[in-house]
Amino acid sequence: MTVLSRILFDSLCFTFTLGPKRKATGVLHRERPTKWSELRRMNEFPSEFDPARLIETMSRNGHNKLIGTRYHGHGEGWCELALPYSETLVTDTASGILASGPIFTLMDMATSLSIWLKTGTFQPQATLDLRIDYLRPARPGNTVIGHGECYHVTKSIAFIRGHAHDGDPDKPIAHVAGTYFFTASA
Amino acid sequence: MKTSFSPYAQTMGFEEQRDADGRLVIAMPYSDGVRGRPGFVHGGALAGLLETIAYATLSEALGEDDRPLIKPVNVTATYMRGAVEVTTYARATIERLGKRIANIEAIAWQDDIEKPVAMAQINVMLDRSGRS
Repeated sequence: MTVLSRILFDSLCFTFTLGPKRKATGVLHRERPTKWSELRRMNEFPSEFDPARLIETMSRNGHNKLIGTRYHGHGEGWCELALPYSETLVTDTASGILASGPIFTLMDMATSLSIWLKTGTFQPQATLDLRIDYLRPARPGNTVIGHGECYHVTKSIAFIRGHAHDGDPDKPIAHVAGTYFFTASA
Repeated sequence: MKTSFSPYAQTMGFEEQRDADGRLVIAMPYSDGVRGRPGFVHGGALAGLLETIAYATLSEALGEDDRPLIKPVNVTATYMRGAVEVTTYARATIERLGKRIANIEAIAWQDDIEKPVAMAQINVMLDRSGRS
């Protein structure tokens, strides 16, 4: 890991572990000794970016901790997260079927991470919209894998798609499509 | 009618309320468990809240004698404002309740219902084939 990506990564982790009253952007600026333009030129950055560590850090905090999201895999422009089955997340005790909310969160996370892996830079972003189609329920007891992919970015908007499965990638349980906007681009 | 909350809804800390018109409202108090980026509620938690109010409102509209399986078909969530560290409320409107399909719109707000933080269009299938 180069010094630059190391610094960026630490800033990223720090952003996600900040106390709620502190402004993340302020800390990023204070901690960052390089310019965004330099970071944007780092074409090799995606291969050195370590989503596993970032996600494990994020999993120890906030909503991800509550639902138990885990790192599963990544590549250029895509990211996979795992959602282990939990009885605290079911929609109906009798059937044991997972609620759709945690799957929505899983896909929101996987697709938003895929944008950083696509661009190789960390730009603050917010979900504009996300549509999810539930093809069938996840089988009770199975870990759900969420695959998020960023397939296009403009100056302001990132376009994403993804799917989730519960063991067999050829038999998806859900598909998603959506957009994010870069909050600092306006 | 009392809506029985799922384990997921309990995990999220959802609370059932009524507005001045007697309409069902679900409150999601702010906690570390719903936090996304620092200072803001996670979009996934908001989507979960919007889905839950949609299914609860639908369940109430169907009544005690009609209990089909409610199967989610799709959810389109739109985020309009960052939801900050206060309680988020949600309510839903059933746009159409058919025999097999229901179309529901849900909104979430914090201090001012005129300034929603998120909304969702939710389509569900009503399965009366005998399971449940």
